[in-house]
Amino acid sequence: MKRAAVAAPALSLAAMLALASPAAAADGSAQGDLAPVPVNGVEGSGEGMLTVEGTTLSFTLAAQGLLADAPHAAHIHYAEESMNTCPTADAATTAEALEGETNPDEHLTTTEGAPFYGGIVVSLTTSGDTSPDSGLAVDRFATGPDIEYMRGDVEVSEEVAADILSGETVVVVHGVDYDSDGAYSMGERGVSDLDPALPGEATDPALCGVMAASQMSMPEGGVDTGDGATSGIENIGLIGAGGIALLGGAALIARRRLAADNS
Amino acid sequence: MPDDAGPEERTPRALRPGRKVVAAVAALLLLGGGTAVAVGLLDQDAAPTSPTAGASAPSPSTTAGALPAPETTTPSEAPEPRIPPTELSIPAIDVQSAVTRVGLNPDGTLEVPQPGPDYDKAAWYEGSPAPGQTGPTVIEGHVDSAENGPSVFYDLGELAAGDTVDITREDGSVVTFEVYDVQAFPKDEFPTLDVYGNTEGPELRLITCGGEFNSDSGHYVNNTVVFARQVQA
Repeated sequence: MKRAAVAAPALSLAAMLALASPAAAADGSAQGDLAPVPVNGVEGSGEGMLTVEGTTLSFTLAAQGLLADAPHAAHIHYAEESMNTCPTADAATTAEALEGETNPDEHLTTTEGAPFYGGIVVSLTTSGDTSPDSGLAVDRFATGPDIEYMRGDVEVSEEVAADILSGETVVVVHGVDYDSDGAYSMGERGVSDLDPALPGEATDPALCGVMAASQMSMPEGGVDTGDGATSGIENIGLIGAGGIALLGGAALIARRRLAADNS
Repeated sequence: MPDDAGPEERTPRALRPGRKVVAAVAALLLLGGGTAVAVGLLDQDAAPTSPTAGASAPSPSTTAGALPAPETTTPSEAPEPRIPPTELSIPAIDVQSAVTRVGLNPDGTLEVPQPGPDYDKAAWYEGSPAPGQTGPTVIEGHVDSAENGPSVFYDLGELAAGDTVDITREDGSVVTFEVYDVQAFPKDEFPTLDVYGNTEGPELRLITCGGEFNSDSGHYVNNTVVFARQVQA
């Protein structure tokens, strides 16, 4: 009796996923728009993209409408126990007044937002250290009103890499000029909840956005789809030869006419 | 008496072409030459159309409001299945094409269809969602080739809001998208998030080249991108 052929083993789930999404250079990325934090009155916007390859993070960050000529701290926030969202307006009423703060319910501080987005896991500095220790390194953040920068060399832990890829981290850009005096000042806001040596205006959150998992493996740049055959003059040879023939024919006729005139 | 002046005086009369022959040759040269010039000029391909919607790279301030907010999928939504595209049809510009597949080059840029039988076919970027899935389905096509002139997406820049694109999938189903924007972006300032960024629902990006042709680099300087979103049948 013939033995039945052994069925080929079915593809493992991992193998099927690999076929479905061909390997790209990065493990994945997360991205999102930045919108004004409620209550704090910033009229601005922005976008961020976080790309992870192993434990290396590269990011792009752009924002507009921030206080001019002032540094804007920016961080990736995450905490497992947080809601992984941006704060809602009622968060502004949760904390007591800080030193020098006359109307605490009109300011949504970084601390008041923490239950929503968690603590700092990456400082999005323009150079150097990117750990939470650099959270207030104001000399290594970009200056408003418009910021746009990228880095490709940020080392993170495996945990943070996974958190980013999960689409649950939040990017927060800080710095709010409540009294519109053109600088970070004590005004009615008083001291910062993060460091009493700084004005609260320097550290309160201005823009916030959840970095959702990218829906595709993000390509780099544009596409080279064309080599210019339809640009410029084509058929030069045909036009040239045709032109010579035209001239030749015209010359013959001219000579005949000349001869006829002369005869 | 001589018929013609000049060197032909020396040719014995019996060997000179008669008037009728000269006239016929003149006529042939004029006809042939004229036809050649006419064909050469008429056969001239126009440069590919640049989209009328505007050619400047959008500043970041225009992007945040221009695009839908990123999708947050609720756990109860079952994701659309991934069914690859096999054919593409764009009635407004009379384009029908099979759809092949491309991936990324080692440097992370999009592969393009290679010279050969698939060169003039549209190509789906496999790293992007399949048609009907949430996110931008990316399909590219050449604008032209040295061998054959205009290619599959030569007329892409003529599309306008309201035009439709039908994508047939491997299971025979058809997904229809409606164009809502056509833009030209410089390749050296390509707005990655505008083109490939997350979307609320299923969308489509058709990409080809356009703008000025740089003969030093051998490439067009812009990409023409058609933005479309799925419409329910």
